[in-house]
Amino acid sequence: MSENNDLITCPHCGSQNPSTFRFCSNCGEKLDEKKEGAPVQQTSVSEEAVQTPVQDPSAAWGAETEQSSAETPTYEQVEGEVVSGGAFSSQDTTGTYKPQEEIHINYERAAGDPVPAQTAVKEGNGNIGFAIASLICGILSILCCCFVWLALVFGVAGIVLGVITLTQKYEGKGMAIAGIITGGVGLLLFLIVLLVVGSTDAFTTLVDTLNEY
Amino acid sequence: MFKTEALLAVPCIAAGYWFVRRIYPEHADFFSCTFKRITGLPCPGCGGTRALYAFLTGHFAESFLYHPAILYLALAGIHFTVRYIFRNFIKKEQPSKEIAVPIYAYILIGVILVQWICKLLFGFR
Repeated sequence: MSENNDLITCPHCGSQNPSTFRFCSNCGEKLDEKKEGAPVQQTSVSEEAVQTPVQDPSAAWGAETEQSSAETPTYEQVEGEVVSGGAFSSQDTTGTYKPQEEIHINYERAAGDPVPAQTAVKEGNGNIGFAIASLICGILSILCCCFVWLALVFGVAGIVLGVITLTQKYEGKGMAIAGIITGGVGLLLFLIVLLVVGSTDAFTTLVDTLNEY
Repeated sequence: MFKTEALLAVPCIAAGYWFVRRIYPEHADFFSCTFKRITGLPCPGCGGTRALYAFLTGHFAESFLYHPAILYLALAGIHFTVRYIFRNFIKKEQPSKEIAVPIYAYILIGVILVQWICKLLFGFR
């Protein structure tokens, strides 16, 4: 370990730390020679993160140099309490240290950096037009059963657009499903008409509707 | 303030007037149901044109009996418009993006299917 002005080089990772630091802000190793060689109790990151809540971010690792002198006395005076950040504890006379990940997190908090808000992963990629079109076509396929050919067209369109929405993971999953269902009902009604068209007369009637349009 | 809404409302009102005055009285046969002609059963949209004509001429009860979806769409449009005005100009919140428009569509689907089932069960001319 070497000292250079106000910086201490960590013997473990080689990173520079303020001289007032007792533990490396990068790897968590002790910087104090007097406490070297003490047995180290290693704990899992998850356990320590759960068991050691942050109480006072200002006393955690990574505090500014001008604040470190104020933080260090706080740490020394406190006994039997878990210091915020959990990097070390006054009870920790055996030289235990907290995992690196926890120290790193506390360092960020103490530095005043805002904790990045964990944004939920968006389900779709922003294209909701397909879902809306699917729903509209599905509704029209039901309403336009009076014109059975329109029911076929809108029904197919509603189903296709709904399937595209679901497969491409666009926004509006509910509307896409509703569009597929309603489009399916429209198609079903069209198929019923086709099934009923068993006689020549009925088929002629169906063809006549095309001529009317 | 309502420039866009006015631009949309004018052609809608003109189309409604034209439908009542010219289209429906002269071409009512065009709207006969092919599904009913072939199967003998009413389709989910049966009565929609008559319901629209009745609604536009002020016969709301008759419109509801022919096809309740027309009256529902009118009420849903009024409801949405009131919420939109309240949110944008009175409470001054974010625009209508927050209004759950798909809910109106889901209810419309339910209205259409329920009235169709009622027509199938109780008969419809």
